[in-house]
Amino acid sequence: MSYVIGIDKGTTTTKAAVFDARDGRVLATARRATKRFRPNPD
Amino acid sequence: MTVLGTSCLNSLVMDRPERAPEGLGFLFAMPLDRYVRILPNTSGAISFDWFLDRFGAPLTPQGSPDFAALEAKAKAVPRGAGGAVFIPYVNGAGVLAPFYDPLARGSFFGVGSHTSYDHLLRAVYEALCFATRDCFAAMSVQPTSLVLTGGGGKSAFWAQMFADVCGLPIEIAAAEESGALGVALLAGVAAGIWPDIETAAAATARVAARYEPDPVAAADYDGWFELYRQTRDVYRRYSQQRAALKPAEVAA
Repeated sequence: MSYVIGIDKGTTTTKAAVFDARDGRVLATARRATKRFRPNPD
Repeated sequence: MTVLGTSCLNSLVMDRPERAPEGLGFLFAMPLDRYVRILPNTSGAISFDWFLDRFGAPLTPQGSPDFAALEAKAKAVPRGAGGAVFIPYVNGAGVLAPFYDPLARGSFFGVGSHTSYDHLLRAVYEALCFATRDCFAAMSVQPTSLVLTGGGGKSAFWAQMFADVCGLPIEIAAAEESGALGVALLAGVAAGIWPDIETAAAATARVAARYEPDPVAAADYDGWFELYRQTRDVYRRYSQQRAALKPAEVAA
């Protein structure tokens, strides 16, 4: 049995998901807020 | 494929590296001589979240925005949002596509004394569809269908609106976390789990729903989209002037 992990680094949240290679089913996910830097906001 | 997340990534898979419009967005080389051209509208769901955050939203008992109630409000307003056009450039990073202007900001145009919260809400829904059409229209190769994913892809109402505005069949990806799945497929092919991308995608990616454009709605939206484009061009001219006027400090 094989599993693959993908990481999606979004603007707001960075998500990681473990997929079952047989059918793409999500087996587990984890997410953390993406830290953003904006030195000169409006 | 359009990923309607905080940013809105409008992506087209191509068999050759088309760079138009030159200097904008991204072009990624993929295995098997495929290329992904991306024009990111930096103001995706961030515009929607901004509107709900600043102007309020019906809430679920758990205290989060009640999207079913929001949709019902927007649905009750006819196409064109009572003449209100929203330019969704609320991202503080400005606009990356279909033009580059870090100083560009958003606007509501066409409001009158009749304009209500519901009209503005509808205008926000419509604007994100217009912004996606705007990006694809700038590409030299046109899509024949569009897969919608990300938080915005969970709404049937919005998906139908994307179909009508873009004049394209909209497919909703069944996969959860489809962004992570995409890179997992590339990694899996590289690691030998699947022989190629086609096999990997066939094993894992399914379409959960499909929305066909309604010809009457599509014709209506052509007019509103043209107005949207002209409006964003007009406002663009004032980006520099606005930025040069240092905004007054807001008292804490």
